[in-house]
Amino acid sequence: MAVIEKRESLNTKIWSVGVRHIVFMALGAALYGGLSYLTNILQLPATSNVSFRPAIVIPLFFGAVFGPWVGLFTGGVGNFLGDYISGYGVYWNWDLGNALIGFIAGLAMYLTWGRYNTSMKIIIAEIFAAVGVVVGIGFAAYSDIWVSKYTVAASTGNFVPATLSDLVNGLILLPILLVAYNAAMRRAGRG
Amino acid sequence: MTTHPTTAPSPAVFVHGLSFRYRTLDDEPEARRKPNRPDQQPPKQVNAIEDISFSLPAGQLLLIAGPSGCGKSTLLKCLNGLIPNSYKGTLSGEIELEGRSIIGLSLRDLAQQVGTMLQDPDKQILGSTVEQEIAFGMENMNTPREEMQRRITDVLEQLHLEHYVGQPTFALSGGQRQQVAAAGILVMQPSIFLFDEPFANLDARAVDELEQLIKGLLARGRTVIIVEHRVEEALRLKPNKVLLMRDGRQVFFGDTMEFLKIADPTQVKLPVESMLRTLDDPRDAFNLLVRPIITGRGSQEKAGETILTFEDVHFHYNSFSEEILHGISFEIHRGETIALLGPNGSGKTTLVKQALGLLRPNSGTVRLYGEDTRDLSVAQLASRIGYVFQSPSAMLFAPTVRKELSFGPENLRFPRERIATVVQEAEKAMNLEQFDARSPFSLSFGQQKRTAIASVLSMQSKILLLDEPTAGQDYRSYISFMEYLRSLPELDALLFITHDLDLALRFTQRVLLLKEGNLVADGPPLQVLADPALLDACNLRPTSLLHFLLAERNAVA
Amino acid sequence: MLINFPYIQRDTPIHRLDPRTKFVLLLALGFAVAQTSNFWVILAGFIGAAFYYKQAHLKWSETKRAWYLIIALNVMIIFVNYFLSGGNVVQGVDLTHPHILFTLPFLALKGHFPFIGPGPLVFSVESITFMITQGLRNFSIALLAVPIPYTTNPGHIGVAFRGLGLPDRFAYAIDLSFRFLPTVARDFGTTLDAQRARGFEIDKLQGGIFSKIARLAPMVVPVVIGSVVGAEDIISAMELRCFGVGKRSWLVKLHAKPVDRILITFAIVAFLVITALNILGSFSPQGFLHILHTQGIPHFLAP
Ligand SMILES: Nc1ncnc2c1ncn2[C@@H]1O[C@H](COP(=O)(O)OP(=O)(O)OP(=O)(O)O)[C@@H](O)[C@H]1O
Ligand SMILES: Nc1ncnc2c1ncn2[C@@H]1O[C@H](COP(=O)(O)OP(=O)(O)OP(=O)(O)O)[C@@H](O)[C@H]1O
Ligand SMILES: [Mg+2]
Ligand SMILES: [Mg+2]
Repeated sequence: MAVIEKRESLNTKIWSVGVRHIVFMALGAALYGGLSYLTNILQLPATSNVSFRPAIVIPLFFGAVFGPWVGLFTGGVGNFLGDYISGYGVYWNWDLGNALIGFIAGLAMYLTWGRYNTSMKIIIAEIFAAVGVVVGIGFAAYSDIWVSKYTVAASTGNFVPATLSDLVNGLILLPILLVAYNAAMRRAGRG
Repeated sequence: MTTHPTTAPSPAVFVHGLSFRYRTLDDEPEARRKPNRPDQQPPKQVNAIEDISFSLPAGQLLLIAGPSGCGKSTLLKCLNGLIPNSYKGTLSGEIELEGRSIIGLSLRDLAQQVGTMLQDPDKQILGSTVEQEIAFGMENMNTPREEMQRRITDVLEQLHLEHYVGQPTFALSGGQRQQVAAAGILVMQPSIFLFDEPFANLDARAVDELEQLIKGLLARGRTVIIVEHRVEEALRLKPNKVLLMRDGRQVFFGDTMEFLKIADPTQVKLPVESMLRTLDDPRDAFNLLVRPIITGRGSQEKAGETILTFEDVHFHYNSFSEEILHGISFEIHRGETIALLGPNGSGKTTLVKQALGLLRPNSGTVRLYGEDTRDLSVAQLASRIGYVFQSPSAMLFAPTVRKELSFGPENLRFPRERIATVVQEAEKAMNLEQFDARSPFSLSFGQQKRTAIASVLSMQSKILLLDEPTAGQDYRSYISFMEYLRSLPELDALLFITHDLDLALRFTQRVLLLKEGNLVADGPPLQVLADPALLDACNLRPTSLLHFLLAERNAVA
Repeated sequence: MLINFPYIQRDTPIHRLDPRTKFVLLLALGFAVAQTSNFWVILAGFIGAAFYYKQAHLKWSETKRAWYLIIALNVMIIFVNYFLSGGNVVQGVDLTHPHILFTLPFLALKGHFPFIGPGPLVFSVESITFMITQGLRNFSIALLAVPIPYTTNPGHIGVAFRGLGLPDRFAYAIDLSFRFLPTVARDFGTTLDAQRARGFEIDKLQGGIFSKIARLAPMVVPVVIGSVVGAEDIISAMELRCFGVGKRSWLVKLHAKPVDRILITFAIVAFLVITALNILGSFSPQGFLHILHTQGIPHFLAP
């Protein structure tokens, strides 16, 4: 007999959640939580301001490569884990904000199929990532207006530095990871 | 499907004319639509396995041997259903397990019949605690909790693992993980077991435990298939049948005895006897096998001068944890090639990290070329002593091999033109020129390993430390790899950590034996390893090569 | 090992609670106190939270890292909030005329260019009360949030979320990420050592902020790509043991005791009452139903 597998449609490729997605969700969350925790305790050069988080690239990367759901989980649960192992507790609106970041970054798959073998596709990923960061951090920061009754001005004071630092970190590191991943995937994986 | 002669009980495993080709990424619809870009290799149409046929009666042990990349794992994937259920591609041929064709069977159905142990227990283990790990499979089968509890306690006592209950799986040693992973498969109660390279990077004690486990399975009438290119170890299990593969094709299937007659000792690791068979004159075997790597030749300074000194080094990781190194003292002289042997967890890696200042002794001193390493930063030390970690994937990051190799020199602030030359030399030494512009991630494991070493060589350090240089490579590629080390540019000394006695015997002039943080022996390989009691104490198992060399030496004396 | 979980094995009322209860309490409180700035309601919440925290028997030495950060952040943002708003804005309550005690000359945001200029910083009974209320609100949330990691066995988080209605596979993914954490930490440590052995000094990165970040690649790339490539085997391991073929059972069992049921019911009821009051309040201009829309400042303070 011969097994000729059916070609999956773009939509199933993006929205289906199979075993591999589950594994990458868990992996992404562990990486995001672990790295943001470690970069904090390692006292990286720029960590004088709390919000310096190179790890932000993790939800962006996992979203861009494995789709919105993986991005969502990576961002949300990853942030939850980070706070959890640092012993800070649980802050749902920031978890949700980070989830949004990964989710939006994942929508890039609509244009890239999750393969980044051309600079055009990488630029697309960057754009979605930037939007994701702005929206996600925006949600988290401005939800504090309701959660903690801050003024718009104060929330903005929270929003601007966090967004800028995440944008810089994310947009610099994301292409580096995508290029490396593309090369690694040459040595084929499963469909 | 064609019928095969059904002699009374149908065989446990029957494979006929099996071929498989992986779908390469370039076959994907998305890539289809546009012409292949230059940076993509054309899709390789070769079959990973080609026309494999064999059959194995129930309760027997089959050994599958062959060089890396010959399709061993692919064949296992066909048997356990990962192909075609999870890996896409083109599959043809027949597989019957216990008389039933498995075509169209889901992984769920197959799991009741076939249990697979992956090569790396780290990847195999999915539970945070021992019980959770063992329960994982049953949880997925939606087994009631009480039933799970019962089976877990059963399997734990069956494997004598009761005392691990409640332990976090992360804290277990490599050998213990293998055991727990096996338990997790046993509870699914399959009748056929597949092991993919189970002996890789285990020390002798762990290998013994694993052999006991496999013997136990056979005794209980289970069928076992082992993939292993360390044939010598595998032969201790007395396999009933051997399947030898090369380039996806089956070159031999039959009894062990015949296999030993035809097998090629340069391809797989055979007992030394069958190696001797290939020589016309056994007497030059000694000189053929034992060719220590000599370092420090060209250096104008007088050889034999002390370059690295450990003086009563004590170390513990943190104030709570117990001491790992208990007063280690030894010297390394110019021109030596040294093997550092010892059981898992004896402190080998911890010891060599002291030399680079990656870890600093709590008491005692380490001197590098007469200087106390306390006064030097890791970066300064790194310019004189190079350390290659076991897994290349721990350090490779750059977009091209060239950039990877120049990373070290740049950190050490070499002038630009010097960087160019050192990178050149390093590439030549490890023969990587043709990959110069390739991404390290697109290379094979062996090539990555060489890139890792080259990226340390490029720092022009005079001493080289290798942590388990041959782990995860098949016999042929690891011999050729050790031969590369011969062609290294002038080093003052070379030290490598290994679990492999033969490596020490064949390529070094000196052996350091570490046990529970103490240096228990130091001397020429044959002298140190001649003491059976000592070997046993350090979980080292005498190999046929050792026996042979000792015999030779006594014959000479 | 670089990561050790903050979980401390003890036998306290909070340890004995079902993890689900802790999450529900936290959410209920969070959503309740978000709906009002009434000093007394928030104070009640704060006292309740403080009592809850006390039950966890956490030592200061164990939690101080967390508290330092939380205190610093909250104090900072609350003051920033006060100054930026010129001490005027009082969210979530309607107040007719503030009782100004005194004002200081200060900068204020303006509606027109250059958008910031000299302006009074108002200190009124209302704004000060509001500032205190804000502090109490944030800390009452923190008092419920902080104990969770110290009193909850990480192995029970996944099944807890399962119990809160998350689908099997996602709940299991949470378990799995806890399982991966130590591995990630170990790989990170190995990579750090491997790169330092090549003269890489993470604490002495060259150049401006941009090149600094780019120079983190040697740390980030191996860890991420390495684990992603390695994941193929993990996927095989899971599929070979039937993961994701159907409904799964869980070895770990959470037992909700009567006290859990009571607490959960209480939390939900309290939340509903607050919400109801909040809605009703906006229809009835004054009286008891309106309290959530007032600060509840006693009359003698604000005549
Ligand atoms: N997922 C995959 N996609 C495409 N090709 C693959 C895949 N996995 C393996 N191959 C190719 O199939 C061939 C056989 O690989 P396989 O892993 O079966 O060899 P092996 O004998 O197990 O090697 P090793 O001893 O190193 O494990 C190799 O050429 C490999 O490149
Ligand atoms: N980062 C660490 N923190 C605490 N303990 C550690 C750490 N790394 C290693 N150890 C402990 O130190 C001991 C020696 O570990 P080490 O890795 O040096 O042994 P090894 O001889 O290299 O073992 P193997 O042969 O498996 O590589 C072990 O008991 C290990 O548990
Ligand atoms: Mg293999
Ligand atoms: Mg080691």
